[in-house]
Amino acid sequence: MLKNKVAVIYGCSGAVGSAIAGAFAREGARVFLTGRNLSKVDTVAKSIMDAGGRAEAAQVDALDERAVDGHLQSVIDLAGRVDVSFNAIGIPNTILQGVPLVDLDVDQFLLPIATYARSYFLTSRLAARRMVVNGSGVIMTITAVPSRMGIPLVGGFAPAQAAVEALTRGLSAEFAPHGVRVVGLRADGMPETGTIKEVFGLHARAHGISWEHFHEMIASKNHRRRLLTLAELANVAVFMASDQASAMTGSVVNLSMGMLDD
Amino acid sequence: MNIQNKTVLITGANRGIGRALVNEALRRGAKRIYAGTRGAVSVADARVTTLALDVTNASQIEQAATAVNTLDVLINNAGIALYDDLTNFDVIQQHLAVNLFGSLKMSRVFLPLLRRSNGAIVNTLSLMALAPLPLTPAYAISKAAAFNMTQSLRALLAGQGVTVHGVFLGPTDTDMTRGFEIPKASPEAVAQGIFDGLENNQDDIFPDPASQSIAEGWRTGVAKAFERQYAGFVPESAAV
Repeated sequence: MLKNKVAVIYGCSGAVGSAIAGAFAREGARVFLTGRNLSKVDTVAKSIMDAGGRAEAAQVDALDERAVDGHLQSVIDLAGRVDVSFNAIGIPNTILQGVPLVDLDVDQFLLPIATYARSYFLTSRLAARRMVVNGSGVIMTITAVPSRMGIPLVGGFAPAQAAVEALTRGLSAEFAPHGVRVVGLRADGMPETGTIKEVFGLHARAHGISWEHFHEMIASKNHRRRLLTLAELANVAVFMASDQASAMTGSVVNLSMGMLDD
Repeated sequence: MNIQNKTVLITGANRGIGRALVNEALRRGAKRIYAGTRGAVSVADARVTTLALDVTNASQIEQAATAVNTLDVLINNAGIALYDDLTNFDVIQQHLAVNLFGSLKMSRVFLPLLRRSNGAIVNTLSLMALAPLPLTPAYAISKAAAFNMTQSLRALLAGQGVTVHGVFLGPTDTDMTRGFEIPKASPEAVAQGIFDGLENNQDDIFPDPASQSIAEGWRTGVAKAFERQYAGFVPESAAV
């Protein structure tokens, strides 16, 4: 579905970034993986190449405008264009979640808001500058259910996700007239990921129950009684990045397994 | 919890599953492993420290605690299993002393360190905790008791940042099952299953094919549902 598309992915040291990169490569895209931890990103790139895909790794801090821009230029130099930009960065939640808002340190409240908004703004607008020249491209990111649902103990993470979703709509309003689509994927917590292994633990502890008990509580709230897998997320991401999703822009795909109404 | 760079203490580390746990922990990059044993154990790795540890000996447990200044994971693996027919109460007491009280005493003594590190307690149990093989009823009684104790500890410690895991072992190829001609899992595979379960935050770990076959039914069953219901009734000032 993504034959010969050139894709740049931010956050490939993490479970989501690496799953998306792998799925895009399997569908024929040439993927440029980036992250702050070069050796981790390199490992992911190598496993993609071992499976017959085309992948390159680079160390890029997705909060650094110059680094992102320089890397995009090198991708253009190598591959001629950028078709897909996917921002999958994340920051550790250890001191950001599991704390009541009434106690949370103000800087820890603001940190996710500033980080996710800044990174998405930078990677999106820098990609858009290149994509607009060709009159085509797709800018994507991943958000989370707390953007739309009131949940206790998520600190500034929920406002951060809401900011990213609002930015998705604003970016689309400005870029879509030039042929560049902008879409988000709103996922529930994925237990396969290191992030959720930690985050559910923070919440479980705050509630005085085990991780597994907390997991079961959350999963029982949706229609399928289970949470999203990385493979399912990647399948939707592939479709949304492809030409077949040309109708979708300024939109955040609901991957809450029925827990959230649209 | 991933055990890379973590400190792990394993009781009954000289042979069988305990020995395999030591090797698997080394393979997964643990920073330090305390190998508790009544006898001698020789592991040629600078990351392993042996501790003289008979879990029925209170002063040895206290002594071991002074030798350990940081701990992330306590694996209560030491256990005994003798054939009996419920006619000898001493045999039942013996099994309880090691398999129930040994684990509980170790957990209590090392709890302050585990609280400090937001650590984990892993108790090796047995499928016999759920239903006995009538050849070893005293063993089964002690494992059932240890299982129920594991559930209580889990609820009491959940709000204190210490996770408690129970391992439902099926037949494993060690001295404990010597002479019993049935399909057995290897201690190596079991050790991997245990650390995988810990990494996946599983309350109840089913590390081998025999136990895995009941995992789904267990997790969606009434007994587990009861545990979850009752777990809510933890007293405000729970001091273990």
